Amino acid sequence: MLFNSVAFLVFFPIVTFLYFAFPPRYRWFILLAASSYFYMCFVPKYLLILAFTILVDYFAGILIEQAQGRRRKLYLIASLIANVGVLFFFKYFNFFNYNAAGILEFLGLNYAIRDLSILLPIGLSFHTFQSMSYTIEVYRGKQVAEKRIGIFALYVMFYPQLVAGPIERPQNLLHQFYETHRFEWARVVSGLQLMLWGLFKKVIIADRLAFFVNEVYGRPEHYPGPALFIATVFFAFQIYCDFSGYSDMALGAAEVMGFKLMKNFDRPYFSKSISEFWRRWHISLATWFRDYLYIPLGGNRVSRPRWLGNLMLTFLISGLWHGASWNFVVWGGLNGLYLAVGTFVEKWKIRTVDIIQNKMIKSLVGILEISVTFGLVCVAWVFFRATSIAGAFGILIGIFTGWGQWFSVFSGDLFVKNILIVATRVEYIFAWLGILFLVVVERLQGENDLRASVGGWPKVLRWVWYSFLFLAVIFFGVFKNSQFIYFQF
Amino acid sequence: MGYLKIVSLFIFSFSMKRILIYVLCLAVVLFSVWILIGGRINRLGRQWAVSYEISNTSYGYGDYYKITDLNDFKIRIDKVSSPELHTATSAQILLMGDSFFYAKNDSEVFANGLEKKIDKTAYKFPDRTGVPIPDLKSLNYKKGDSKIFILETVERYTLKRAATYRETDPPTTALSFRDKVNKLCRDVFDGKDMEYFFRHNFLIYPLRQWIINWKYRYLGMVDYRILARSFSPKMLFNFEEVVFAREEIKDEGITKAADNIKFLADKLKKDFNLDLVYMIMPNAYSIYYKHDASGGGSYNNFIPRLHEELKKRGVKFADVYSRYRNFADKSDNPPLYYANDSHFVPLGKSIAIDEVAKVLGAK
Repeated sequence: MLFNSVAFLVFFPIVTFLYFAFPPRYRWFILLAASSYFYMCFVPKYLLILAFTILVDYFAGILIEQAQGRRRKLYLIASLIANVGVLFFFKYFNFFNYNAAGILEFLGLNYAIRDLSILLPIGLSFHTFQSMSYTIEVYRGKQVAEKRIGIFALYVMFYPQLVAGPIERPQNLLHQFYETHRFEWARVVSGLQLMLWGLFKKVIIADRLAFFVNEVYGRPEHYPGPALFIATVFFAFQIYCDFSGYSDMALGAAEVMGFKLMKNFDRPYFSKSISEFWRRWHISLATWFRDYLYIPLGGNRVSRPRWLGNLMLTFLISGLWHGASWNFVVWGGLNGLYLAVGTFVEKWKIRTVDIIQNKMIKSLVGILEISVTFGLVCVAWVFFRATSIAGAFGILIGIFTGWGQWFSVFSGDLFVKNILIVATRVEYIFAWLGILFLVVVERLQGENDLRASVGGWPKVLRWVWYSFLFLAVIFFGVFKNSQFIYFQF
Repeated sequence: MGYLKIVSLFIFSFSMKRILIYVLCLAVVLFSVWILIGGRINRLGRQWAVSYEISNTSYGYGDYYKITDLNDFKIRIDKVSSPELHTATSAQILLMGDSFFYAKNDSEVFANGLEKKIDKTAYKFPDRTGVPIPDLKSLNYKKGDSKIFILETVERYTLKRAATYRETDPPTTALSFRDKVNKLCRDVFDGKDMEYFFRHNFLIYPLRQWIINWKYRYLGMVDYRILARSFSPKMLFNFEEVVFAREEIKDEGITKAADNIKFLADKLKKDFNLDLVYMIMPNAYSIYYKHDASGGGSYNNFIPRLHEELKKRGVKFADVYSRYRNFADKSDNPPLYYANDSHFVPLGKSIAIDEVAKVLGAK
């Protein structure tokens, strides 16, 4: 079930009503049943995979807590193997099989293992990681093992964040299922406001940009450099609005029922460095890798070569987490490389910025830093979006060619002829307006939460703002039942 | 007294706000439940839906109006009653095909029109799976006197359908356990009916239609299932036909389809004593792509290429495409397709009938 579907529009009020209508001790069951239904709307039988993960980690948690010494570690390893095994089987088997076949063929050896013809269960990486964080935290002694299997199942399956995060930690989420959440109008409104903003980003900006990105990235050889450039910038905003839109809707839906989920995005495209970008982009995943991989490997408290190795390994695995393809590995590796180089450049950069006294020059340098960071992120996005590594390099090289046609591209003429939508020019103008609107809103929002910023406005302006968002969604939303990009991970 | 008044006013306003909140929440929940019921129980949903084309009525507004809800395309199309005149055994010509053979828009169905044109009896098989040999078997058709068998397919499905022409076993009608489970899952978890009901119930529909028409009038925006349009002649083109026309179809695909059609022709002759006449109904976009308002219309020449291959293999076919092409290329000629429907207008139908008659040797 998609957040931007009619089914969810019906599902959400009914589930919320039932949640508050039932006595608190039965509410977990309402949420669990609703979450199961929510997940089964994608592919019903894949609920069994979730059930397997839940059972394994539920018992693993209890066994880890009860065991002493080496046994604790053994139970943890068994649980991790089971989780990673499921992930490997459904997500990575074909990838590794294909590569193994390629290598053995190169060596002249026979290889007869066939690919599996299975669909990747929606959001598998998200709930597997969330479940893994539970067993790791129990092992570390930071979390008490959950004794009620229903509550643990709900922790893994809580529908707002089941298929695309945020990847929660047990310390933040589990105890909330035991709390009694009263129906509070102010909180409900606040949650709905966040959902509306998320929906706006998804159906007004992301899905509209998708028309152009899909066309250009679908057949890049037909497009000159300016079009590839625009499509790459569009993709940067598409993926941001798509994913952060989903996260906002997840956070909002949970908030309506009284649950507080962790923030997943914090205006990442205003980052002045790649390290800052990774503190603002997909925060729940970045911190997951930091806490459960990077720091256990030694983090930065080791020799410089080893630190570099830790950093690269973390980012390469993070890339692979996103998808079973070398593209994602390169994307991760590129981000790791950026960070490594950025760390060396950081001191020099700070020193240079400190010398500048003039405020205007300082702010210009700030804009330059944001632009360079955005540019680097966009280069990495090319690998993320392209269908192959060769294709990504083709696009990166192609960006520098054919600038003689810049006017026909930027004015939208080229898209009008090539893109299969009736009012392409209007959509093209709306696509740019959407990006502009987002940038202005996030700039004005500053470090505050958007709702807090808007909350400070006079009542009339607040009404105008939310009415505008609502009407924009109704009038200009792209409702094609398009999935969220991150569902595939 | 003044103090009491303020307190009572405060309590009153507080409780009023609270009541309003609860009423609003309840209304939202009830509305959701209503959508759920209307979407899940079709019998009830039909009562509350705004229905613009009931199958029993003698007119409709076309499939593109159904998709777009644009008032500019709300053009009445009468359904002409077309009685079955013969049976498969008594008819001299047998017809099988898709909606172009079933369409009775402002004119009788194709079979009846053909019968009048060539003075031979014709019979149209009922709609089955669209795979000729299994369908003939499941319809219990037995080999008898030699007859003409006209097989029609709309252009955009030709390749997909041709791939099934080697199938000879009739489909099993009994549902396996797996099918039953899948069906149950679809019924329980699929949200399509609910989505349809949400868009077409009597509360939402008027507002939705107003918005859609406003967007069309002032911004030119149309439903995303319509990918192109032309102003002269006034026409909409759906995504399947536009994508098909722009798709790069390799020669291997075309030769494979031609081989399958040849196989079918031989099999029909051998097993049923039927002489195949193959007929591809061109997509409107393949005829009018030059009129695409975006200026980017193109056509992959699929039909002429397939006809060429059929000719090489000695398969008989009705070249409706060339007739339409020649007709449409003359600028003052009327359109061959409806503005608000993907099917041919009576003129288009009569040209197609004329072409088939020519292939059958009628004067």
